[in-house]
This record gives sequence, structure tokens and C-alpha cells, in this order.
Amino acid sequence: MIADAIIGLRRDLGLEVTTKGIERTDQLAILRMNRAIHAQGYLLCRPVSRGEFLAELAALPVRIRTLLSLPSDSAAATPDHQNPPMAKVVWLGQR
Amino acid sequence: MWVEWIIVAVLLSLLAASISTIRSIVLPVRRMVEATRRRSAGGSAHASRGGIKELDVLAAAFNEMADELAVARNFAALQHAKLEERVQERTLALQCLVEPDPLNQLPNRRHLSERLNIAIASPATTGNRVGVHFIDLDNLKTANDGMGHGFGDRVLQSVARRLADATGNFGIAAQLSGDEFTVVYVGAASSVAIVETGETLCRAFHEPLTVDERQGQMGVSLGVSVYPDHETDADALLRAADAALLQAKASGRSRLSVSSRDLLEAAVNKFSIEQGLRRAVERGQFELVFQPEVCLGSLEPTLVEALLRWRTLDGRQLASGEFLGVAEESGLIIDVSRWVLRTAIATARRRT
Repeated sequence: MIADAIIGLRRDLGLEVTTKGIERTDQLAILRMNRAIHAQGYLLCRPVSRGEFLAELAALPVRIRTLLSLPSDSAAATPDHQNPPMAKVVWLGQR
Repeated sequence: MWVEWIIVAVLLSLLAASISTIRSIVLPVRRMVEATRRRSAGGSAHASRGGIKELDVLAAAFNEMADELAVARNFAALQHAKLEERVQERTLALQCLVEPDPLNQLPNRRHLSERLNIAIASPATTGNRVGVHFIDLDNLKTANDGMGHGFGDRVLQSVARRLADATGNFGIAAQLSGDEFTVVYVGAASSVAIVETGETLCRAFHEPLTVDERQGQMGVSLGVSVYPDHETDADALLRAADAALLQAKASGRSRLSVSSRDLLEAAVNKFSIEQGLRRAVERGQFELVFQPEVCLGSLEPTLVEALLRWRTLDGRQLASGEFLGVAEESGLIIDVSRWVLRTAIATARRRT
């Protein structure tokens, strides 16, 4: 319910929402109902060292499709695939 | 005629016998009596030998005794001097204990520790509790900086008086150092009573202090530890109260905080974290791990979070939440932040 309220707030205020700490498939399925949400959690990808990271990143879309039981061929249709995530540094510290 | 000669001869021999008696018995006895008198008057006393055999033996024995007596007397004098010296030493130590701080007439740290130990050990307080209140002035530095140290000293005196008044007859107020005071509550009925007393002490400073005809507010923070609930010896009690005081100051001054095991452990833990953090950057013990965020529409990663980890010497990997608080308090956060930003940016540049 709280998640619903916050997601509603996002829509009303036009903000980006990131949900963190996703550990179970049912949580991911619920969030997937709203496509504008960003998600992070152990279920998707644990924090990994720099060496392993690129491989993890490449495997990520496939893993999520598997988790959500989506057909893997729709990946080819996603235009975003051509644009890898922009490298940007967001400082989340307190100062 | 014959008879007369015999009588004269007998008389003469009697005379000779009495003279020899005087020489061999009376004189030696008299000499010994004199020697004894001299002896008891404190002088050296040897009886001259001579006289009949028995008396000569007696004189020799007397002399032996006199010698032994002299040795014993010397020994006694030496012991006496030593004893005198020890008494003097002990007196000095006691004076040091009893004599209060010259500035404010409160007992000092050593005195307090000793009296705290006595309070703990005393059978009268068995079953009762002893409270240690650590008191720190919140804004003495402001007074010192603004008005000079002479003024600061008079503020301290005034604080000491107020503490002594507030302490009344339940305990001992002492000054440990500069602006740190301690009140020991001896023979409290319960730990609740001790905490209530701490609150009374805190409240005593709600009234402004008057120094040099100026009125000023002096807030105090209080840390409390209780015997035997928290610790069982004087030094540990003082440490526990000190840790509680730090907690009181950290949570916003002018308040009271009660010791707990957790608090003490936290203080020790914090110290070791800070020590380790100081060297973590140089030793390359920090590392970043990365965790992507995914857009649930495109299922593509949109952002990568860099998370700080600290691999300590003993091989543990600490998440940032376990040490960032200490890093911020100690100012080490600046170095840590610099390292994180530099490393994250370098990694991101290599990625694109």
C-alpha cells in the first residue's frame, strides 16, 4: 500500500522512483506492472567487484526476463539495447 | 701475760679478716651498685672486676648485660627514627588526599577514586547502590574565550559551589580536570534514586550563575553509572560514567545519559574503528562494489551504484553503514569521500 502511494506520488509529481532491496520474484512482478519504475536488489544483481561487473551487466536483461518468465526474443525489439547506460556518477553521501 | 698475747693475736686476725672481707665483698658490691646507677642514668657502665670469685663472675655478667643493653638501646633508637619517618610519609599522603583543589575547594581525582573505592568496599553500602555522575560544562570554552581565563576560573568556582550545595549530604563532589566534575552518590536506595539525583543536579544549573556580577547560563551534561549494576570497581565506574557523558553530549547537551554495557562496548568499538579508518586509505583497504539499477520498462540497467566496502586487517568486510558514522565524527569522512569519488569516476571513465 505504501509502495502504491509512493508510485502514485511519482506519477503525480513527475519524479523517478527507484525501488531498492528487491529480493523476491513476486515483488519484482508487482513492480513490473508500472514500467516507469527503476529497480535494484539482490534478486536482480548483487553488488559485485569491478572485474565481474561488466559480465553481470550484460547478463542482466536476460536474467530479469527469465525471472518474469518473459519471452527472451522480445529483447531484440527493445530500442534501448542500442544505448548502453550512460556513465554518470551520482553522489549519495550526506556531504 | 700469755693469755693477753693470744687475745691480741685473735683481735688482729679478726681485724685482718674484716679488712679482707671489706676488700673482697663490700667494695665490689659497692662498685656494682654505682655502675647500675650510672647505667640507669644513661651513661656507659662497666663495673670494675675484682673481689672474691663469685663477685667477680657477677661483675663479668653485669658487664655483659650492660653491653647487650647498649646494643638494644641503639637498635630501638634506629627503629624509632624509621617509624617517625614512616609516620611523616603517611601524614603527607593523607594530607594530599584530604587537601582539596586550591581553586575551588573540591577534592581531586585521586581523592575521589580512593573514596569511591571505600564507598564500594564499605560494608554499610553492601546491598545499596553507589552512583557516579560525570558532569561536564557545556559552554565553559565560550566563557574562557570571551572573558579570559580568570573569569573562566571564577565560573568554575561558582559551579563547584553550586554542585557542592546541590550534593548536600548525600555524596562527594570532586573536580577531575578543568571543566569535568564528578558527584558520587553513596548508599543510594536504588538506581532510580541515582538517576533522579542526576536530574536534580542538572536542574540546579537551570538557574543562571552569577560571576563578577554578571549572570550567565551554564548548561551541564551528565553521564551516570551505577555500582554494582554497571561496574564493580572505581576506575571502571568512572569510565562507564564518562562513556555515558559522551552519549549525553552527542545527543544534544544539557541532558543526562545513563551508562549501559552497550554504550561502553560502542565506545570501545568506535575507538578501534577510528584507529583503523585512519590507515585504511593508505593501506588500500577500501574497495568499491557496483550494483546496477534497472528500468522495469526496458529491462536495461540505467544507473550503477558504487558501494563502499572496507576490508579490515582481520579479513572482515564492513559495509559503509558500519563505519561512516565514526568517519563523519572524526573528520576522516573527507579523505574517504575523496577516495570514493576519485575511484568511482575513474571506473566510470573506463566503462564508456
